[in-house]
Amino acid sequence: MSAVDVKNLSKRFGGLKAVESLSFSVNSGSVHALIGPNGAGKTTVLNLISRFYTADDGQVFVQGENILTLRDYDIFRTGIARTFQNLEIFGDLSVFENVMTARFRFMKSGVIANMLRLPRSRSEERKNKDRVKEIISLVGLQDIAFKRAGSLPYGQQKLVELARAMALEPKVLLLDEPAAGYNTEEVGKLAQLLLKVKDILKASILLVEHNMSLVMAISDRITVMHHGQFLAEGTPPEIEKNPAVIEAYLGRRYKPKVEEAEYA
Amino acid sequence: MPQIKKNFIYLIATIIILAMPFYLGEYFLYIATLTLVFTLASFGTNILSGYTNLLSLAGATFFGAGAFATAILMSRYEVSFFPALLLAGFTGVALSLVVAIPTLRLEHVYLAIATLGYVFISSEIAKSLESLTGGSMGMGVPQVSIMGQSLDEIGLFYITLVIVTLLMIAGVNLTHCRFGRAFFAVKGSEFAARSIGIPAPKIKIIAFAVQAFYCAVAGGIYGVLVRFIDPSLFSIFVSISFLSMVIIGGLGSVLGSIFGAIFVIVTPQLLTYFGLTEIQRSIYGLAMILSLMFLPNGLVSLTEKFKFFKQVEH
Amino acid sequence: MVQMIISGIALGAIYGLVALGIVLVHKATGILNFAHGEMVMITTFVALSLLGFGLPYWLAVILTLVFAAIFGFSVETVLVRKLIGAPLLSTALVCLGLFLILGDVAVWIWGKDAHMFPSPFSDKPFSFGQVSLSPADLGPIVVCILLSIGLYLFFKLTKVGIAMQATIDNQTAAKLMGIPVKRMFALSWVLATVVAAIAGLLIAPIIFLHFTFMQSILHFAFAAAVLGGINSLSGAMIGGVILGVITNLVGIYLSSELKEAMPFLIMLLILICKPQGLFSREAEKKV
Repeated sequence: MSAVDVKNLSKRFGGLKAVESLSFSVNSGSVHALIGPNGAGKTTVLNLISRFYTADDGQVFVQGENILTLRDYDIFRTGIARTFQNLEIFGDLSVFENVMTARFRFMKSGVIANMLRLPRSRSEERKNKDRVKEIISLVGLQDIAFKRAGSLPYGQQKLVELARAMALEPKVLLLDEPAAGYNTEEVGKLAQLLLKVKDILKASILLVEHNMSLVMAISDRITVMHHGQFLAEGTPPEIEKNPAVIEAYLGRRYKPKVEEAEYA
Repeated sequence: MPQIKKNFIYLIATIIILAMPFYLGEYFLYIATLTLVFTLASFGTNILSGYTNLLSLAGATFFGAGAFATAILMSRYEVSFFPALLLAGFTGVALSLVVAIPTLRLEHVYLAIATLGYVFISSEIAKSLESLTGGSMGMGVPQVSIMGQSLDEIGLFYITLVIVTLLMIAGVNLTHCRFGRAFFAVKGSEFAARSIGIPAPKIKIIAFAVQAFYCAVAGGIYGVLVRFIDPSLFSIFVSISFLSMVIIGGLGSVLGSIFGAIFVIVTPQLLTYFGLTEIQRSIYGLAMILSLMFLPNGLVSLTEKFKFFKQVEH
Repeated sequence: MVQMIISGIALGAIYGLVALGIVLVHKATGILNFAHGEMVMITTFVALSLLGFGLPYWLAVILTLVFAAIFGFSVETVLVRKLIGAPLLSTALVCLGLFLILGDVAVWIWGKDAHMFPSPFSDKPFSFGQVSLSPADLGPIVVCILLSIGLYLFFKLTKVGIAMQATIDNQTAAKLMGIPVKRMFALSWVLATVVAAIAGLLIAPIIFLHFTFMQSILHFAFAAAVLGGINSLSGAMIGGVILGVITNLVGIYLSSELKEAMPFLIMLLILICKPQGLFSREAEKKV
């Protein structure tokens, strides 16, 4: 069973075909990147999978479950969690509280039980707080856990959003341009972090990204989109050498890795 | 500030409040009791508008409904005060479903406009159900009696203090639990909240229900305090005054709700002292506007300067 | 029945005029002016005072409109300008604050009494067969029609009107084209207040002028604006007329209590079925 199975996904906005009959699969435990120029429809695909938009056609199965029939606030049931291109963290809450919000569905006590601080609500809070502390340490934010998220620098805010997604105990992480705004060094650290997170959660990653060094560094497979349609798919070396892809997307500034033999 | 010093201050504050009937005259005790009542309404409205960022002008509907429900249950059906108050609270919650469910999917703008209508409608309904509510003339509210003894203003003060304290403790618990965080999440970014599994529509309904419960209970106590109620309770001014408590005191803050209530109740008293009663409403209006422009986080943001208050929230 | 329909159209048109002011401001600046009704009230009281000084009706009207223009401009400059782009909670509360302040100002200057207000139209009815109408019934409708045509031409043909329309449709593009966007905001408030003043002059002869007289009308006007589409200028007027006619008919054929509830019920119905209103051109939200 693949982690994510996209079949003939389509979405139109008025006359514009944002996504047209796109199909690809994310293998369990792998990192799969979705690339293409601006306007290719990559973020729309993420929005369709996470049910922010309703697809016009096609099917999407996450861990075998048909996610398109679910409401947007139920998608976590399939084991999926996402981050956003334009950060959507809760600025007024602390880092800790941001990550705790994602534990909402892990707790069962009702409004009245919580207002009366019944024992079960207290133990639930404690258990979830402990797990959240673990996750925050994993991404390295433990020193600023109680700072107001809105006051943090951009890079740390991105980590908060990642931690929040992780708190859903996902098996599939949808990451929307995680490297946006990062310099080379930060991208390197991000690559290491993402691989570590993937291993710890035993998850798969579907990555929408512009930053080619991140894509090439961690992806197992890459799907390339163009004008909402499928253009090519393959491993990073295959995509690097694919003429259509090189011409349209990687541009002349990107050079494929030179074989070491050439320097011998 | 060390914990012992804090506890000492809490102790002093508690003594000051408990001793109020002994140093405040009858009139000021009434004002203190009224402040307690409005603290409930302020907190409830804060949950809806401050924490969850839903602008509702329907607060007066629940306040009035609570007042009438309590009064009718006590006078017509001879229900005693506490059960009547509880039932009034539930009446408020039921009514809130009528307000919340149709308006759930509306954008903020439309929600505000729709809630404006509810106040107007409830006023008309109250006026027309003459046999029940006394119509436009209003109705008298019986005195609270416990075990056969009617309460005087001192008894009423303590009873109100107990009720308000218990409800505020429950309220603080609410703000610290998963629902409190969910309110802020829906306010911060509804669509991110939904993506992490928070059922935004249900959270909004809960926020409405909480406001309705607190406002209805506030209305019920208000009724037995002033002993006479009429449909003028269902007015946009009442709803606006609830919102003004929240904005002046501080959005999203329990302490802010308390400050807001104190401001809104005490200010008219000061104005009366200086003979300026006619401009009461415009003072609220001015305070609201000034708050929004210069102190958007309310009076409570002023307290951030004092370390004592620092760890009270969250 | 024809009588009822005509008076429904007349009243609806006037309330639609109030709605027009609300929609204009909302379209141009994104602000929902809950204090609009009170601004109508203030300008109408100013007219009353001018008449009280013995000025002839039409002179008083002109001076009132001048006052309205200045009034709208002042409110915009002092309060609104800082609010453009602010979240709904802030802008709505500022307008509600203004609502409170204007109420007290009115009482302070003019007191709490109700006043009669003259109408420029004569009361004498003339008959068409079974129907007996007076200029007072038809006059407001004519005024509203003329005003609507005037505004339509203003937005379509005059340079200023076109510039304002551009600002409303796409602020960023308008700025890039060199349109003084801030001045357009001020202008939209001025226009809205002048329209409001005219509405007040038409309403006051029908119901007594009193410092609270606009409060229930505000509710009706919002319902009309929602019915027509909160962003549609033509919708506001048409919404008002539809609401006026339905309300009157319900009052006659069903019950008078239901009549009071009509604006609310219709508004609720529209919000549930088609929240954008009947005449809105806006498509579903996209991110």
